[in-house]
Amino acid sequence: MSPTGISRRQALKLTGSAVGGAALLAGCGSGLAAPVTSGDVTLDFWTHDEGYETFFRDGIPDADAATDFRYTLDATRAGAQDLVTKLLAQAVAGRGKPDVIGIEIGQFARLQRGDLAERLLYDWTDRVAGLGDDLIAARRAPYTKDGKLYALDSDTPMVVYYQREDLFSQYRLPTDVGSWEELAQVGAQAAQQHGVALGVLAAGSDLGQIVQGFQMLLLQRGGAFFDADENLVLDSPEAVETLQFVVDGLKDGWITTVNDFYGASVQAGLKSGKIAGMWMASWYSAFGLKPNVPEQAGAWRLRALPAWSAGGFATAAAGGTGFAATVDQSGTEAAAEFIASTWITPEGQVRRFQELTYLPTLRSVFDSPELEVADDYFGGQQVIDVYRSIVDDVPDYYQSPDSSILNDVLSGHLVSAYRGDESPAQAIRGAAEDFANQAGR
Amino acid sequence: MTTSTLTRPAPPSTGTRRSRPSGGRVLLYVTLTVLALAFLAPLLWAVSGSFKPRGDIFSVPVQVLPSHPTLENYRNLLTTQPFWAWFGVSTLVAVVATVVSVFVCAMAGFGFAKYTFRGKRLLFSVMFSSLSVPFAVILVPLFVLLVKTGLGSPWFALIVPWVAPAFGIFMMQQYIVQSVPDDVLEAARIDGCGELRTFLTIVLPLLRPSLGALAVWTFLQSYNSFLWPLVIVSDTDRATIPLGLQTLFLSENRSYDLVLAGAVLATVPTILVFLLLRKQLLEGLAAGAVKG
Amino acid sequence: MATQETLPAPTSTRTGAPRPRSTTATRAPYAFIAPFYVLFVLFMLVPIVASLYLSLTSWAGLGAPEWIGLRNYANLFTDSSFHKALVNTLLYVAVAVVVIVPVSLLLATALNARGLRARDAFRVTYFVPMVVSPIIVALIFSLVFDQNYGLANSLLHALFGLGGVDWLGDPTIAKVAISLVMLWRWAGYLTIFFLAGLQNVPKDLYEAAALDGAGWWRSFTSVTLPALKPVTAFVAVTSFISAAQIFDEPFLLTQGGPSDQTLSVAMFIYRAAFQRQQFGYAAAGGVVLFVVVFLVSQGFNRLLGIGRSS
Repeated sequence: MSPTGISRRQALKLTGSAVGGAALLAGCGSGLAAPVTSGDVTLDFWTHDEGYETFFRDGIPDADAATDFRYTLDATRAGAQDLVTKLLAQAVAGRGKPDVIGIEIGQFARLQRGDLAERLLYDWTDRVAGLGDDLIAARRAPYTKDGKLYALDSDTPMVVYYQREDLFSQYRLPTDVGSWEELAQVGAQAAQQHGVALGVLAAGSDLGQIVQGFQMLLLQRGGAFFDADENLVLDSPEAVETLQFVVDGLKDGWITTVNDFYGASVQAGLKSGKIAGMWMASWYSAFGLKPNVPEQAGAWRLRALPAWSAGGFATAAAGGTGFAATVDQSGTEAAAEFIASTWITPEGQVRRFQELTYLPTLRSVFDSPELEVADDYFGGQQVIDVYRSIVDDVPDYYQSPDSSILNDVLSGHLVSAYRGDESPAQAIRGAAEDFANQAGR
Repeated sequence: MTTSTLTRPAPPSTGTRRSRPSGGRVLLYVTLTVLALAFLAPLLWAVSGSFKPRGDIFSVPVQVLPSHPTLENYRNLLTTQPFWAWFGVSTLVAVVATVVSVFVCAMAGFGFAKYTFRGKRLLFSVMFSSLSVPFAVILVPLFVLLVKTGLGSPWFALIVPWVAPAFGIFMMQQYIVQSVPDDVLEAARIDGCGELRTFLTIVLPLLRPSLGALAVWTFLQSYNSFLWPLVIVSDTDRATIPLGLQTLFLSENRSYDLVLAGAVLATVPTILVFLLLRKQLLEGLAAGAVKG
Repeated sequence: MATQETLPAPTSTRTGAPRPRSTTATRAPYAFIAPFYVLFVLFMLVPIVASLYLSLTSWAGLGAPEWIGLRNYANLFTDSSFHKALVNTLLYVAVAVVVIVPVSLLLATALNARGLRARDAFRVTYFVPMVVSPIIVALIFSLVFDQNYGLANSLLHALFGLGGVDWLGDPTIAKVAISLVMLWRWAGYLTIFFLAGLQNVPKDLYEAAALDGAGWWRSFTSVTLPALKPVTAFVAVTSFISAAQIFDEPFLLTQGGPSDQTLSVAMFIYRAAFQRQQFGYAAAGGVVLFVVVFLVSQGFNRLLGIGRSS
């Protein structure tokens, strides 16, 4: 077809098919099968990570015992972003949706657009009402839309400070500085004298990582990207101040950059002993440190983040994966029961900590003695002690349907601030302006 | 003095070069060799990396050959991932798509090359213009269409919409115009041969080299495609190789080691197909353009 | 219709194909080309029409699309990231047509040198990158271009003592890196076409030029280039179309970053649809891309006479 030479008849045909196309796209034929209420049920289970699959499979006996169902899982694994794409596509097609889906936190933001979450996902609000404040508020916020909770997080991924105990003592660095400002002073000297870095930021081609490195500090400082109503609140004195702090740290050399928090560059930095400390979320020990530098077992320690002297929180949450059940499925009820009986029971959360090292999302489970295990990688430290001490001071974290736009624009401005091409104030301002230019389409 | 004696043994422009390797000739070989190395280096580095333990892949300075060669990456890949299932899906889809596509393109190419009929110019223009439709434009509606009509199974969706590429038709058309003489067709018609039989028994055999080219081209397109399988396949066991590798790479711990091994294994069939059929491919591809 | 004259004509009209008389023979050509058109209508035309419709709506991916008229198009014109995508795509196109095509021609000329040994080996070697899956290419190059531990910087350091080039992080260099990958993937492929064209240039033309005392450069410009015009046209147009739709390289290597500096239009469309849930907006971007690519390639065809025998 050619845009210049369409005859009238062709034009009529075009309009005709356009209407047909509209009907095609609009339709959402649910063709509901009768809900399964008990007995054998096979759940389509989608996740981006094998660990979850194993966890839920292991949980089947518990779920069978606690419910009227006998479960079988049919698992599908794909990239975190692809899962949500497929979920939407299957929903449009009216068939082939999963019953249970693990939605990576950043991808959940996509479902905040319009009424996607409401149309697709089971509303947990009433079901978890009985848990009250025990279900940590900071882990509810990111999966809440219009006051309704659509997914249950796998983790309370608190940000802590990882440090190489051996290097700290070799270089005679204090391991208990109280504030970031003190750490910056100590770090600047250490960088000058020994060429080590006490902090790491990402500045490669993974835009999400670039943002995350900064975001962890910003949230702890009391700043935020979005408020509870999905409005951008990035452009704040806290953000400029935090960015200024890391830019100074890069200049002084005590903060270094890597291309990838999980790959080559961080591994080389860790191996060579150039990275002696970093702020990172709790899951980083399992996904970053242990696989990349297993030989450094025993040399690492965990501690709470230093505080900001100007105020803020004890920690921040970064990352997570919310498990959701889908609606309009014959297995919706069974799926919800399954998640409820494996995922948010105290026993399930203990097992999750033991098998996957994810922290409980129920406050009371933090006090469980079964979590008090010595971690040899951290020189026999009981890491749960550290988390217990900060879990009551986790800031809420809100997303917006336009979160990915912010990722795209903020990552660019952060890197240009790191490189010195923009001042921190310009970078934050610029990101907010670019966001306004692209959001809400 | 005839021209042949002048040109054959000692053409003036090359005579001096022939007698002894001149500076220009040496430079030519050096340049071509350096370029060849530049083209191969990234691939060889990946092959070498696939035999290194994870920790050595990024060692500084770069290890050209693995200093602790190991098959561990391959073993891990094959035992922990359904690699052979991916491989099967990719290969089967590519082979079926190739066979059908070659036939469809040859038919359409023949129709355009050897007949005059009403609306031919317009139809040809439509076909040729479809080359410039960006895939991203039709991605979403095409997906919806297939799944809504119940045709969203990977086997159908990965193959059928792609078996009549305009590029292939254009290429066949060009080739047929050049290499199938009209009088052969006339002779067949006079003998009372039907059009389809003429095509099957007389034209197709004449097209062997370019069919080979189109086959390799289609195989590579199908085997390597990424975006479409990404959207249409939702089952890990039925993923294609590019999809499987992408998933592996995006998993939480960046399995460079496994992914490199997978990349090497995945590339083996394409390299083999290419090496075996390279004469046809290189010449057939060229045929479409030369007399453009 | 005006377009009929501008679009390329099938070759046989000019070469004089036999005119079959019988009715089976008049139906036959339609039967031969029918499979293509069935697939074309079902899997290309219908989706394109649906895209046109979608581009006039706001649609998050589920439910009924909301009709918003031309607002998506108006938004595109004020969206700085779309502008960047257009400019970058233009750059990729320029690299393809102005750098990669001439490089391929030079490479073909070199390979065509008389009496060259191992010509086939060279030709095959240059072509090999084309058979490797884009995802694998991206994977390899993301490692090659690693700032601290990649092959590229290691080589630069070993050869010239340079180092620390931020291949994928620096806004300008990232574009260079992507262009290098394009060059690496496409040059050998395009060389094939030129080489075939060169081998078809009658030798006596060169001999005549040589007798006239023409040097290498003059015989290149006066014999080779004119003889290669049809091949060059074909290669230039196909490179243009591929480069205008470029997706794999920026998507897999840089995610379009930093600051959208490597974003292409195709990636803009994908991102709007599959990362931001703006299907209507994505469709509008697709329509714009379609119109531009279509018009320019028609212009090219008209200018260079592709698909026409001369």
